[in-house]
Amino acid sequence: MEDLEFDKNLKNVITAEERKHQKAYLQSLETSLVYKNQKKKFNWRIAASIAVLVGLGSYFLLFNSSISNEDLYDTYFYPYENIVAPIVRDQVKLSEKAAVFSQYEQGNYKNAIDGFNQLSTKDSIDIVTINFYKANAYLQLNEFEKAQNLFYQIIEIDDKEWKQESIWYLALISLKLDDVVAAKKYLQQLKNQHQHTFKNKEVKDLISTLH
Amino acid sequence: MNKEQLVKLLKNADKEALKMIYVDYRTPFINFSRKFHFSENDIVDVYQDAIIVLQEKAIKGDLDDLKCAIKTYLFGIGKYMLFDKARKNNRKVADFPLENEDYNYQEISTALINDSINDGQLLLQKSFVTLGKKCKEVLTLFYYRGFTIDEIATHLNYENKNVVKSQKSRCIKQLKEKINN
Repeated sequence: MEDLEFDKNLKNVITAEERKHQKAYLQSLETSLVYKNQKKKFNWRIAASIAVLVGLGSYFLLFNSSISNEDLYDTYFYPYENIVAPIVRDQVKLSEKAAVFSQYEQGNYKNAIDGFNQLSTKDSIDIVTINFYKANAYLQLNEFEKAQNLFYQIIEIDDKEWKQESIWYLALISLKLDDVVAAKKYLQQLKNQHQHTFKNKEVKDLISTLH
Repeated sequence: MNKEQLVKLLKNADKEALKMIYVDYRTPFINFSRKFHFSENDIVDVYQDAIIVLQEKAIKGDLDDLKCAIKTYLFGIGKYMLFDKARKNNRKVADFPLENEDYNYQEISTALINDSINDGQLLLQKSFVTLGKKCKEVLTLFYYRGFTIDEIATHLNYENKNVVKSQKSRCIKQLKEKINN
């Protein structure tokens, strides 16, 4: 293939892939908007904790008034969006993988976990990715220990795939479990990663809030 | 936040800015589209596509000197996407407004309507998705975001541009090997 032609084709392919990711992101945003509208009370609580964090940030630093670690968790926690198998509306027959991710996207986390347990590399997905999303589903169900174990496994592997993301979620779990020392340790570990790009700003903000 | 700041954030593919625009104009767009008698699902589907085109235009620099409000531009794209959807469903849209618009929204909206991958590109796509995360990142910055090698080096905190150059060559080589195997 001529280089110019190859470049053009590659550009088209990457554009199509990026659009799929963007679509998946917007669909999960849409789902969360609908979900939040149904749970106004919950929504209010998050809004309140964000307001407290943003508006009274300096007050907090000066007077060390207590924002609970749980509030911090609520503010920063957002389930990782489905970028693996974007769900196309009106698609009649979904592949096994897409069906599982569709459950995840719709917030049916128990079904999603059952589905993740059935998936294998035969479904053109790697084990690390399956475990990463399974851990996210456990987080949604407040099963922190199970989520933690899966994230541990991911960061133990030498591969860089999902590593930074997993450390981030481990930090958030530690916060939720009121273990500030561990949360700080993970955030610092994330900050020290070579080419740290994931949640760069949030990591810095949280570190300064916890100090 | 003013228009220029928002365009700049969109250009940097800032997810929060995208989210803000999505949330702010979602209900107005649904209300605006009701006169075309589409279901809310269809409208939301089109709205998402219009948002994707909006961001791509920002990335390309086409919104740097935007002559109208972001909302007007977004709704212009969305409107023609709705027309196209109606046409595909063999439906007539009652009042096709031929307004005097700042941009050729009809042409802009086709960017996403005609974006299917052709047979020749299928194999390339299958190979691309199996590349490692780093390769995907470098190639996406180069081909989709239009970054120069220098800009990629800065963005990914590489020591210098030669590291990016060799990384990119390695990724292309891997891709070609995957296709030929």
